[in-house]
Amino acid sequence: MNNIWYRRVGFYNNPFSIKPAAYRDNVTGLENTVDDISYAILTKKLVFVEGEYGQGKTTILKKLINDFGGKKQVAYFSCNRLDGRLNIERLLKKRYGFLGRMFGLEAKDMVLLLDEAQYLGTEDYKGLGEHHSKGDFKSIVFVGHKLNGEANGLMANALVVNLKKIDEEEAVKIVRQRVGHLHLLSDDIIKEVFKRSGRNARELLKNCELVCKQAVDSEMTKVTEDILNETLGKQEIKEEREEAPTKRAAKAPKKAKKALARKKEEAQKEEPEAAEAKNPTPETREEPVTAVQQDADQQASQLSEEEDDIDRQVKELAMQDDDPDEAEEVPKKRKKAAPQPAQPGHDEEALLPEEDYY
Amino acid sequence: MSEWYEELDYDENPFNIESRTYGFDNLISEIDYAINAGNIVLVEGSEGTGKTKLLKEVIRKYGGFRKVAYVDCKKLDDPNIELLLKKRNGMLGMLLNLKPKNMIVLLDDIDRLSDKNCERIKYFFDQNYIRSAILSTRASSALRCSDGVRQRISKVVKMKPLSDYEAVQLVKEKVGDLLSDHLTKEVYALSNRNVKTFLRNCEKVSAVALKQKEISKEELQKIVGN
Repeated sequence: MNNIWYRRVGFYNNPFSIKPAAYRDNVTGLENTVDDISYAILTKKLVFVEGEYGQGKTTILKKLINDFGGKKQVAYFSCNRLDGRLNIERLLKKRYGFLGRMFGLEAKDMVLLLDEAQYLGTEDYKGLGEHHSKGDFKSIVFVGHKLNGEANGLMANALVVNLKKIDEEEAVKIVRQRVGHLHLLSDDIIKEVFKRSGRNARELLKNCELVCKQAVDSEMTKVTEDILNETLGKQEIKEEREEAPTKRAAKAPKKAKKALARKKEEAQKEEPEAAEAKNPTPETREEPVTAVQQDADQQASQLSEEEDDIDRQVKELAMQDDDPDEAEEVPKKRKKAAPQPAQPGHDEEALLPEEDYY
Repeated sequence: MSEWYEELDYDENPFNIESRTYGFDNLISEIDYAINAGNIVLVEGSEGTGKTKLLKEVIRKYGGFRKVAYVDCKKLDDPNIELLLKKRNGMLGMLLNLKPKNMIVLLDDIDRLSDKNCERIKYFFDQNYIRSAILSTRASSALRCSDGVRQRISKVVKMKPLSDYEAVQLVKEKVGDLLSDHLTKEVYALSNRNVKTFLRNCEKVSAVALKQKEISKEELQKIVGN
């Protein structure tokens, strides 16, 4: 077990753990936000925090627990565990443990931290609002990915924070806080990883881990550009997959138009699919190479044909297309197949899914 | 009535005996790392490639005192996975509301897990009740689980189907030289490269092979088809 990369570099635990506040460090890049929230809690206001995935929402809450916790004054609850409605009484009574529950003690002046508040319903918000105005809760911090409009009534007199994305310098700081001045990672490399991680803090940590692991495993003393390409090349494709449908939408007409042009040249009245079914392999083989040519073809056909006519037929083609799941995979697979077209063994396997597409 | 394998001096069907795993070394090291580093891994592989077997291997390796929980999401009736994980601490633990700590959770067929339970897993992971989770699915592209879990997956590990050579080795280990290499490969191809079907078919073929030396292609298809 001692050949794990971080042990070899001198860490006992994974320094890039993505668990929130794994190292109880400061919430780098969000210090001001935390200060604002702390102030709002002290002035008994409600707080709403909204932010994308992996930006440190839960980490902020952990930090607040750290700051305010101690005298049974803070309750943390993750709303994604809810089956139905939030049981506020139970939250209040639970604080004093078994005995307190017997005597029916209820907490006063508690700070309630609600994680994943997007799972709360209107009723929950109403109840929480009432309890807050009664003074049972000193303050309530709602944290969620996208807080729905149901909380609007409460937002009027509350602090609403929208987490902004961290910038490069802060990304470097985050990593430095975890690993110190590790010779493996230079500032430039961290910035590059950050860029490839979609500027997301959690992705950054995940990718830093991958990169460092790769570097140490291959006995390198520094993370180089090559390692980045090697390990994160796949990652980039993974991220692009979300955009794939739009890309496909852009690509499909191109192909369809090309097919149309060809079809007209051949003066066939067959269905385009049938026409392509005759020669699917040569075309797919051309695919990566003739992207430019394809563009030219498309422009030529645009010039020569009437737009409306084409659009109509393109739509027809799109209707005949495969189901989106299969189609979505295609760009990914093509990218994988493209770098190694020369290997005869892989050729068949790589081309099979392409045939499906047509 | 004697079974065919008794002629080979086996007490029980050799194809039912758990055997050494082939082609797993790489995957196991990947999973070892994930468990040590506290990550979530997704194991991807189509049916019969040995996902469950890989998870069982992890249990064998890491199993011990209330450390590993294996949940087959297909058979999960319990609507709340938290209870299941808390049961680890026994009755007393349930009463005192003890939280599990540093558990390793193996979730077979994560696609069948409800969104709510996915979120609960995520919560457990965030709170460090779960140290590391290993999920398995048929195809990662069609993965159906909540975004919260999806975004915490550090690595997708792909199960590769057995190569022809490995298939031959597997059968050799079970019944020795009873089936020729060529025959084994053919059976493997006829089984659509699915290991489970392959072993079942090999069993049928072995029973026939004991009685007659040569098995023609047509006969083979008949045996496998039946």
